[in-house]
Amino acid sequence: MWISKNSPVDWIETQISRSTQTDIASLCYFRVVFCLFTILFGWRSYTWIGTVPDAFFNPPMFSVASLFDQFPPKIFFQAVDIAIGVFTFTLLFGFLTRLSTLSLLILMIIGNTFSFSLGKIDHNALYLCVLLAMCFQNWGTMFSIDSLLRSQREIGEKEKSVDLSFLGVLISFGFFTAGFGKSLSWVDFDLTTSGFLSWFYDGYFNQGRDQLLASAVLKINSPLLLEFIDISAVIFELGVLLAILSRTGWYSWLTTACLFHLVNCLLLNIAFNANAAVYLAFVPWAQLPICRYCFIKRAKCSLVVFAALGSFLITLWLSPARIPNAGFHVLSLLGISNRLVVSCGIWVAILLIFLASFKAFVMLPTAQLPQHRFSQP
Amino acid sequence: MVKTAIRMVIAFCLIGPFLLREADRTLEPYPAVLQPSGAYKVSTKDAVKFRKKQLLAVENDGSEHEIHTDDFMGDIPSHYWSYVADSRYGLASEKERTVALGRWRLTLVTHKEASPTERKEALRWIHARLRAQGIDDAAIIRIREIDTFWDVQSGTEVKRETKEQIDVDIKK
Repeated sequence: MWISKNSPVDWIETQISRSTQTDIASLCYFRVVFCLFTILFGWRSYTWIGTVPDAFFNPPMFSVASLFDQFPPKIFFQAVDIAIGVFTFTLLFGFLTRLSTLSLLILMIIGNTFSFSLGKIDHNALYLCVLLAMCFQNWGTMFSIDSLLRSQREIGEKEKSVDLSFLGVLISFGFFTAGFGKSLSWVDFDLTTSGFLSWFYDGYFNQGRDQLLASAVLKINSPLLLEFIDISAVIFELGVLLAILSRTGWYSWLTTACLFHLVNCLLLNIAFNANAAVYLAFVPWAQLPICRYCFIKRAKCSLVVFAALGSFLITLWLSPARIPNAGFHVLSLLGISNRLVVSCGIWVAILLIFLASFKAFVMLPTAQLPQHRFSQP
Repeated sequence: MVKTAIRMVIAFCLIGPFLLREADRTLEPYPAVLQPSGAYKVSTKDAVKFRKKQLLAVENDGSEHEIHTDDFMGDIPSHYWSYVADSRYGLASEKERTVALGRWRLTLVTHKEASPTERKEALRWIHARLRAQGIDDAAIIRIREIDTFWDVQSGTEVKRETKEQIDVDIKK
């Protein structure tokens, strides 16, 4: 074997494993958070593809869609949408959890591959990375119908801690691909050029991204500040490769990522809500008092509440009114119709969650891991 | 041995698509763990200049009507509009592009030519979308790219220059 036990690759792997470790209870609670977040703010629908003329079909060369000559019929996408609804629901309750996770992943890849056959690939891969990583994790062990159906047994010490290094590596590599090109172009120490403004101008003048604090960017008259923004963006995006090697570094980077998205939302009007669901995988939910109350002390009651809420939201979506992303819909009924304001609210909330749980995450390996299962509250 | 094999498979699945995108953006595969790079720059010395794409319907008498792109797309998410416009709404003739990958050359079909049935369907869709905006008698869809110069201090447009204009014949 060309990689010895003490090779640098092994050392890096061990460090990443330590940095991204969480506990099984937190991961199971994350499953519920992930599903509720998806239903409220990140619902994907593909039925519209059935209405697109086949002449528009222009798939990426290396994609599943390139095996086809045209879009599949509308009924295919309706079936995909319904199946996504059903599997999101079963994942929320932890029924056939692994099958639901894998099915959602495959269905979304199929939907996306045809959606991106209009000449543009949207970069929402990190959301799917969560599903991919969870196919190899037991996030249905607790607070799930699966745990009720399985024979009762204590969770072994080894099973209590969860290694999320695969997800960590996927996130890090994703940001590396964003930062690599910028590092070659943006870090030029030339005060007469700006990379940040190239994003800003295109969005502001061409795509109507002129809300919230966007107009304030037009007033920035300091080339030094613009250069600083360019360099700090590159440091943030490439810095993840170093940050993931330490536990404090990793959680600090995730917290900074929330701030980064909040600033992007305010200045560039780019929400990237889907990434919020990704970062939440590392939050030590089981250490947070409110989660202990909901998921452990009032576990059965919470399950009933989530069941009612989930059923209601999915009924809304499947009803003739077709209301996806019920969170946005409810907030618009309350007078908050600007989705960017909602997105800023989401990023502020998640930033606060990360700040509140910082110490708990860093201390987690030495903290006493929860002993509870849903069936033994 | 298994661990090494797993490491290599993961590395290949991550790095392979990234290298393809770095070689040429049109080679970007899906699915892949790639985030948007957007490593472009603009000059901060000169006046703000940006390129804007405009969609116009030209009637038989030559009169132009600006099309509201978001409404025109109907059920299709509006951010795809400029990419669909680049393919001339599916009415372009076949277009190929050769990409060099080291010693190898790869020929890609960037736009495939629509069959007569697909063409008819696309024209039906275009006219229905135009009618929804009150444009009944369009003969041409005009895709115009304009360089706009903006004065930040006064917040006003200084001048416009048409850089490219493509007409798509949509007569039935």
